[in-house]
Formats: sequence, structure tokens, C-alpha cells
Amino acid sequence: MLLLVKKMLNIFFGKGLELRIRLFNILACIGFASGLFSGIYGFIISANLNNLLLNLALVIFSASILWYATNSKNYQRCYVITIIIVFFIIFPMVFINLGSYTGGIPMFFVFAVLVTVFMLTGKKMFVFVGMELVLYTSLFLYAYFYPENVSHISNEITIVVDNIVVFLIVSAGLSAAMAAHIHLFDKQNKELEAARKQSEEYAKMKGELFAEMSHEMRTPLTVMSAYAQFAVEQIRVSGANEQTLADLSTISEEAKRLAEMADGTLKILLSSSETAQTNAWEAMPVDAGDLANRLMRLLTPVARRKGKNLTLFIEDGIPEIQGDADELTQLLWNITQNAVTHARSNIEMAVRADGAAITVTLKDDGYGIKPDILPRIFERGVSGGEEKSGIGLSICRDIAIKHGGDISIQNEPGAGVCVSVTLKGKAEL
Amino acid sequence: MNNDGIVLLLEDNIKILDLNRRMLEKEGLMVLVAKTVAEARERIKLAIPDVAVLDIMLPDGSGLDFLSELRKTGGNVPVLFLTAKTERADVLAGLTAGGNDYISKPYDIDEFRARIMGFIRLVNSGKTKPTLSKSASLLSVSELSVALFAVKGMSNKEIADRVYLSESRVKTCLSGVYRKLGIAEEQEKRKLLAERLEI
Repeated sequence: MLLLVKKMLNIFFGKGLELRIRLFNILACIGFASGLFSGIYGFIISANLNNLLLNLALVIFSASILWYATNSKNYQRCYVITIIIVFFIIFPMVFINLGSYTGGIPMFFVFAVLVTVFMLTGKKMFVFVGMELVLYTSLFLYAYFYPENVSHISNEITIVVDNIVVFLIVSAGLSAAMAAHIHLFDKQNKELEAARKQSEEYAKMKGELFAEMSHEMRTPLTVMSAYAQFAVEQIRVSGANEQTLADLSTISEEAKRLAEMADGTLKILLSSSETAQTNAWEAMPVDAGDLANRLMRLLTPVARRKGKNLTLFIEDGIPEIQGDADELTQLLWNITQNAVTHARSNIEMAVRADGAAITVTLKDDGYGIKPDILPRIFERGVSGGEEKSGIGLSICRDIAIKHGGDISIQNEPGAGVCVSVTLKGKAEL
Repeated sequence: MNNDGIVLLLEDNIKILDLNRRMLEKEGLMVLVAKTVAEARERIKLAIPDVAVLDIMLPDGSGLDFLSELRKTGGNVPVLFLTAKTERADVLAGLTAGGNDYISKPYDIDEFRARIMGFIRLVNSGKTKPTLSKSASLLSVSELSVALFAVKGMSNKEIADRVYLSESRVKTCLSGVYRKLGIAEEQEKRKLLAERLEI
């Protein structure tokens, strides 16, 4: 029974559905329930057969439109059908038959106008709302000028009960719609903000990478231009000798090194810009070892220039990850950059297979993280360094969790920090 | 010879270091090489250079810091910064801190050489006494730089590590030194060397 309810809830109000659809489903359910309730209630207190039939029609209509919408997925058509049948036909009939403005029905008119605004878009919305306003105003005037054609409730207590019932139904429906809307709005805002922050981080990473690499590329260029100039000079003076030949091969070696660096940098720059633009989650087989290797090749000279030593160990037989190479690159880049910044002299990265999972550990020999910050280090805005935004590690954690893993960080006994990232291998995902 | 002198090269890229050394040795200058600030400190204990060429960003520190140390021990040694263009702000700071000139990488070797030789001429024009003793001037510049370490009693391997040359090259240079200076007795070599070179 509970399972059935859960399944129903998922079909009609599941998170994958658009807000309008969910709202529509809520309204249909309310229509179903209120029709059932007021039909039976009305029949019991007044034995009014018309009322019962009208409510039964509402119940049948609610159920069938819900069924049709869920199966056909043609929601815009269903909205229009609903508005015409319920707001333009049933509501006026109920108004005329069930006490006109002496009952609670006018509250339904407010409800109708709001729901129309909510469900329809553009011109269609204005046309329908206009028609409703004209129709409902005319109904009030009609009831006033032709009282013999409409039913008026004369019994005070019936008026009160009718008002209470309609008031409760309408407020429940409108509050549910508003609450759902605001909730969704907040959630989407949060998601947008997170996505914006993440693409900012991407841009920052790209900027850092670009700065580091353009600096690194200057070195082979300097070697090449100086060696070429010197070789030309030597050949002019004394012809080519062994030393000149060796100098010429140095030039070609440096050219190759430069091409490799450019290639590696471009790969990372291009791929991350594509990701930032589409922001799409593309699950592809990723070789974590290869990824770490590529990153190390780019970062080793950077670390060396800062007087630090970067080493990489990759275990044999690392399973592939089903995931996003760019995000994983960003994850590794962030933690490695952190380690390079904070290490005193050594940074060790290791990629190991742990059953079907993959563990990447990164150790540095820096001063560690203050114990009061450590438990909160993955929260947004928490950072060990004053000038940092404190968002890098929270993004790392998001990426790790997205890949079926997690990230943890602890101070090593003695000195430094050890970051471990676990990622699910392809077989498990 | 008006063009002799000692140049200190502080540069962490071995290829650039090697090229600049060869280029300046061809001009008859004696070259001391250092890949780190620590090594440069050791070199200036050995001999105060006539010109120093410094990179700024080095694995164990900054060329700017080394400049102030050099000023304390080496006085007004002309200092030329050879450094990546992106460090231009650092260079300006370096010139303010007492550097004399700078060239940005990638650099033109003719310009580089011309500036060094300009400094050497400037230094030598003010000198009353030649940089090298009479015996020392018999040696080639690479022989001289190896000999400078040999008088400290270092092994060939130790010398090779400091001048960034192969051990066999060091050995060849040293035997040239002993031959030119007429030193034959094995055990007395290093002592005699110091006497002959007057250092």
C-alpha cells in the first residue's frame, strides 16, 4: 500500500517533472478529492441530486484528464481543456446551482484566475484571464438581476459551512502551488549559483594554467633561439663541428618538448572551456592514471621552479572511471595546486586500485591545516589561506561525490597534509 | 689582455647556462657557473666576479636576494639580470635594488655578449692590476676555472659537479693545467698550484 502511494507520488509529483506539470497534477487531485467530498457532503445535507451529479462529473473529469495528461504528455492542451471545462463550464454551473454569491463559490473564481495565470503563457494567458474576468463579473450581475434563475442559500449556517469548506480548499490549493513554486525557485537559484561558482573556478583554473604554461614555454623558446643564433655564428666562423651538431639537436629536442607542452596545455584548456560552456555531464570512460600523468607533466616544472619536488606513483591495472575527464582534471588540478603551494619541499601523488575503486592520495610536507578549520575544510567559504575563496575544495568534493566517491583530508603525523580521493571504477557504476 | 675577467652565471636552466658559458669562454672570460643561489654563494667565496649575470626566479630563492649578498661581499660588481619578460616588474625592482642592466628572455646572444663585454671593459679600465697572475694567464679559461676548484683540494668528481662538465673533461683540463705550469709531483700538485696561481 505504502509502496503504491510512493509510486503514485513519484508519477504525479516526481522531481523530474516540470513545476507546471506537478502543479497541474496537484490541482487535478484536489479537484478529484473536493468533487468527491462536496458531492457526498452536499447529498447528505440536502439530497440535491443535481449537485451530486455535477460533483461526480468533476471527479470523473479530474481522473480522466490526469490519466490523459500523464499518458499523452501533451500538457499545454490539457491545461487549456481543464481551464475551459472547469473554469468556464463547471464553475459557472456550480455558481448558478449552489448558492451563487451567497456561498463560497466566488473564492473559486479567484482560484481560477490565479491558476490560469500560472499555467498558461504569453497571449494565451491574457486572452483566457480576460475571458474569465468578463464571465465571472457577468455571473455576479446575472445573479443579482435575475435571482429567480439562480439558487441563493438562505440558511445562515449553510452559508458559513459552505464558505469554510471552499475557503479551506482554495487556500490549500493556492498555498501548495505557491510553496512548490517558491521552493523550486530557491532550489534553482542555488543550483545556478553553484554552477556559476563552478564555472568561475574553471576560469580561474584556466587562467592559472595559462599563466604557468606560457611562462614554462618561454624556457624552451629561449633555449631554441639562443642555440640557433649561436650555431649560426659558429658555422659562419669555423663550419659545423661536433659541438655545433649537438647544439642543433638540442634545438630540435626543445622544439619537441615545447610541442608536447603546448599539446597538453591546449587539451586541458580546450576541454574545460567546452565543459564550462555546455555545463553538461558527459560520462565517458576516463583513465585516471593517464589523467594524473598528463597533469604531472605540466605541473612538475612549475613545482620545480618553486623549489619543490613532485613525484607520481601509478599502480598497474587501474580500472577505468565512467565520468567526466574535465571535472576530474579540475579536481586533481585543485588539490595538486594546493599541495604545491603549501608543501615545503615534497609532494607525492599516488594512484592506486582498491578493488573496483580508485584511490588517489596526495601528500605534502607543509605546515598542515589548523585543527579548528579541518572539520569544516570542505564547506564553501572555508579556507586555510586568507586570500583564498574557500570554494576550490568544496567543488572537489562535489566532483568526487558525483563520481560515486568521496574526498577526505587529514593532517599527517609529523608534518603536512594527506588528501585522499576515492572514485568508483567503471565496473561498479 | 684587456678583455680578461671573471663572470658569474646564476641560471637554473642547464642548457642556457652551458651555452652562455661556452659563448663567454670563447671571448676569453673565466666563467663561474651556479644553478642555485646556494651554489652562487659558494662561487663568490672562491673568487669575486667582475660581472654577474643573474636569473631572478630560482629553485632555492631569488636572484634579487643574492644581489644584496653580492653587494655586501663583492662591492660594485656590475650585475646584469637575464630573466623572463613576465618578471619585468621584478626586474625594475632589481634595478632599483642595485642591478645595472637587464635582458629579457628569449634574448639575443649578440646583445648579451656585447653588454657583458661592455661591463668587462668598464671594469678593466679602472683596474690597476690585471685580474689574473702571470702564471694564471697561461691557462685557458676553462682550465682556470677547474684549477680554481682544484686548489681547494676537491676531487675531479666534486669539481665536475660544480662546473657542470663531465668528469673526463675536468680531468683533461686539470692535466693541461699541470702541464702548462710545469707541476709534476703528484702529492704536491694542489699546493704548488695555489702558489703558482698566486691565489
